[in-house]
Amino acid sequence: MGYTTLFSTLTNLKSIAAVANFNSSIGDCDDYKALICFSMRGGNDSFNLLTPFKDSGETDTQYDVYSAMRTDLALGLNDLTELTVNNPLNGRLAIPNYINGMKTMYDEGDLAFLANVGSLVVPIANRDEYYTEIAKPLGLYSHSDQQMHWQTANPAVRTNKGWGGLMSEMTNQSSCNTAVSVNISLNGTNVFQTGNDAFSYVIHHTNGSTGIRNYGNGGGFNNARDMAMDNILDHDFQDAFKNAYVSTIKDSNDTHLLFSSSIDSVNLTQTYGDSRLEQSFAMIAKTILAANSSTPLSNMKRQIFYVDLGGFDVHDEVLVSQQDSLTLINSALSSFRQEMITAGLHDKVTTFSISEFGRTLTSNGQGSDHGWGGNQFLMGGAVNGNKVYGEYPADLNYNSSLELGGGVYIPTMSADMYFAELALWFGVPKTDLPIILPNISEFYDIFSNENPLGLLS
Amino acid sequence: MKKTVLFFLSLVLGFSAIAQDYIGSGNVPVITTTSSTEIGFNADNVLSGNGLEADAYDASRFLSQSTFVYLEEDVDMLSDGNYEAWIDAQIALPTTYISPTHQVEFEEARDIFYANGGVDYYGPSDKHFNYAWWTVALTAEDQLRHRVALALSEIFVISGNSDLGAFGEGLSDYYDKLLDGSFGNFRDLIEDVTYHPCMGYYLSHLNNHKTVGNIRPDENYAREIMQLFTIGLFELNNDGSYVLENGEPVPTYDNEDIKEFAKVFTGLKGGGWDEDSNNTGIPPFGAGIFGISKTDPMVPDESKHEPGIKYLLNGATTNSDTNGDITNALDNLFNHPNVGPFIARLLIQKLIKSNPSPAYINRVATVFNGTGGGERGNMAEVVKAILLDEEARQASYQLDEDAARMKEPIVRYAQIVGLLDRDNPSGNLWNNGFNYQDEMGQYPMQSPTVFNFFLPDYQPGALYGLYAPEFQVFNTRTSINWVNFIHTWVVWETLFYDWENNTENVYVDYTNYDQQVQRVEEYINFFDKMFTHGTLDDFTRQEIRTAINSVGWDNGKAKIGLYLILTSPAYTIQR
Repeated sequence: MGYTTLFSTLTNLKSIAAVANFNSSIGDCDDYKALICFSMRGGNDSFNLLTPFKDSGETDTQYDVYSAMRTDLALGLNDLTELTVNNPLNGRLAIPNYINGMKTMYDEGDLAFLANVGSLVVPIANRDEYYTEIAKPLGLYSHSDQQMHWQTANPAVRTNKGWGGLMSEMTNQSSCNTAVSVNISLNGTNVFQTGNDAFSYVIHHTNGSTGIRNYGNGGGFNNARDMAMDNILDHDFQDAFKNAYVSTIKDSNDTHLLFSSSIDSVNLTQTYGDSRLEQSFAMIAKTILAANSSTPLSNMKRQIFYVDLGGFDVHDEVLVSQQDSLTLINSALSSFRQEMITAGLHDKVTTFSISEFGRTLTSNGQGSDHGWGGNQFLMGGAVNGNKVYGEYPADLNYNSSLELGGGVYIPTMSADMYFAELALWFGVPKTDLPIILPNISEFYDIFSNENPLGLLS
Repeated sequence: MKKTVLFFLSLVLGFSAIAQDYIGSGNVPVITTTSSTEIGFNADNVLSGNGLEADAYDASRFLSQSTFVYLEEDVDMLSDGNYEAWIDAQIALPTTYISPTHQVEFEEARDIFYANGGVDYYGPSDKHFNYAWWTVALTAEDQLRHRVALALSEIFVISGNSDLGAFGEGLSDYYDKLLDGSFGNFRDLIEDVTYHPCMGYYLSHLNNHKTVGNIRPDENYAREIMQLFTIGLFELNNDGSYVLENGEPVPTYDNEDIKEFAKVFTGLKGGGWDEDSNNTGIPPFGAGIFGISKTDPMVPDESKHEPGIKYLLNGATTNSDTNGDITNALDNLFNHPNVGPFIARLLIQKLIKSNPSPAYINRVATVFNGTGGGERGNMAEVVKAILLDEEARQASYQLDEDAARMKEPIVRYAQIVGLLDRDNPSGNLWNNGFNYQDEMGQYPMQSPTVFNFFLPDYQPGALYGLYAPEFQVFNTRTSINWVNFIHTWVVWETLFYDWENNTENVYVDYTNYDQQVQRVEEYINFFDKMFTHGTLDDFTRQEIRTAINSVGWDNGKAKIGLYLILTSPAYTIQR
């Protein structure tokens, strides 16, 4: 869908209704909140992020099945740090030693994991049900489709409207600061932040926003160019198309000037590594600080960030490559969290991970292949951390009830449940959840008094 | 100034004097005029005052609607206004296919890679398709066919922005089918598209299995061929307006229809093996896109095709084998009265204007329908009808508020590269260009979804009530990127970056422009004629003139002039 005027009109009407509701539940302009969607592109091999555990010498444990199925990809007991686990049904779980910063966040209640979460259209209880006509996500195991599904929360269709973009349209910033889009991306335009009209304001991890090149930099050429451009972009061409063209460029350049001056006026207190990911989190931190101090960005009540890290599609060399990636994440999150704590914004900022699919538990000899359910994490002061939410597959063996071959598992939790928690925290009223998460009612009663998972407070 | 006004009047009235050569210019794509002094402000009066430039402007405008590359000699030639003869000649030209160029350029790029000590060259991939696309777009004689094929690639969407990106030969072969379809019959086009393994992969009717127990056929292709490729969501009158019942549009199909068509598109498997697979013969049902040929049309496996009767649209049925059912279903769709107005509107939007009048759609759809003795679905006739229609050609329509179209990013780029003098040390026209997709939102065969880069019904808020599809990819980010791409091209002089150590880059050659800009008005006039078809308004012209005169060195003057003409709304907004 998404193709006809009629349809867009209906959607717009819904959005307008939603805005009305939303206003009633959202606070003043100083009620700031930010969501950071962190995408691990390529499909994180998350069986090595959240791993079964045992004491050495024990036998017949979940870890033994994991180890036997994973063969050369299994992490050794010495490579792992055990987590305190709230749900005894999940058995003992651990994370790699090299993300010790995340372990600290977990222990201190700022970080939680979600077990075996994935895109679903409707709940699928087991493999028997899977092999029926039951609705399944389009293009399972395909990167492009599954990335889209995580970003649209609408895996039954291919749409380019994302739940972040749709949610941003419900925030109705009009009474507050509308200078810059609610949606800011560190990695280009993306489906997650695309709504009916909303789209990403794209910034660079070190340079920030982009304006007309060399504008205001001086010199004979630039000065002459700036003057001509200023005049042309300000001109009324008596032509709606031409005016729309020049005003878009002018507004964009003005936004850049405003954004960059705001960013330049704040100082970070933490140090960040040089990698693109760490620098991206530094830039996000600057943007958040600018929105919460006296700059042209102040008074933004909501921000949604998108940042991604590629390189997870590791059909070979999984262990080395994944350690590199997760170490970067650990470092970026550690600096960023400290920054938010120092600024007193820790409770207002939540970072959550997505990745298009988990990978096969089994090895292809060097790496793992495309799977389905996987493990995710979220971090922030509002997170009810020190917990693993959801159900880790109780039986990892071949032909167990969730296993679809090669160590691919049917998700035991829909990504919708995860997103619903984030949306509720952001301020979306429960009954409006279907506007951004069209299938949520398959998994959760939006009239219930209980939150879907209790992830955030 | 008075004479300039006269000129515009002459354009509006469709002034039709016999074309004369532009003052001092020869048949080369650069100005070689030898006017002796700085002509200054009066020059545009002199040039436009003779009234004869109108035909050249009109020819330049026509070529910008129908080609990627046009030079001054083409404009001169077409200033006789005989566009129909030009179109006929274009249609008669042999097709310049992408695939042969793709293969040659892949091998050459691979050899460069190995010669530099590389191991394990990746491809052919969409990168090599990109190289070939640019080479062919900029050099093919059959420009009109290529311009139409790009439009078709935005209707019958498959994308390298998926796993298909790994199969340059598949993308090239698919594009060749669109080139066939540009002047062929629409019925053949939808058959070629339906059987192509890359489409089979993209919309998942490759290895689509008949009903087994509770597993039902995949509905993806069934839905999109109706919604996007042939008839659309609602019943249309021949002028493109909705048929209304009780004031409501009438859906063309429902979910039951989709289920029936899904049964039709079962039983297709790969038509051959991939060269690298070391297998021979026909692959078994279930062999995936990585193993099978990306160019051989899919073939039936009758044991996997849904048996029994399938209910098509408008009361028709089919109960045959795979090919028989598909033939009947494609015939059923092809003969649906929606196809003419549906396709007419989409193609007009991509070539002429975003808001064609119902009368215009009706005229083109009538040609599609073959009413009056023509062949139904004759695309050459449809293209001709679109380009020669009074609403496309007559000046009286051009000043209507809704007569405009934002030229799409890829066409803007191609026409700049096509026209400018190039310094091309390697002789190759290779452009990796992937950043253009990310930063501008459009690149050939890289759509983010089957819904194309932008939707035909997109209405930006600033154009209340008007359609302007291309504005969907013109936003805070892409608008700035557009200005900065022009900076990269004409100030930094780099038109193309390749991915072969930048040994194959293409640059702008300023040798002639540095000379010509010394006569400011002629310089502006030349690019106004070529890039903005005489529509550069006095205000913009004065700004450009001032900027050129305030820069102290010739190369700077030449660059700032080009930069401002290309960033001006007159270039991007086509009227």
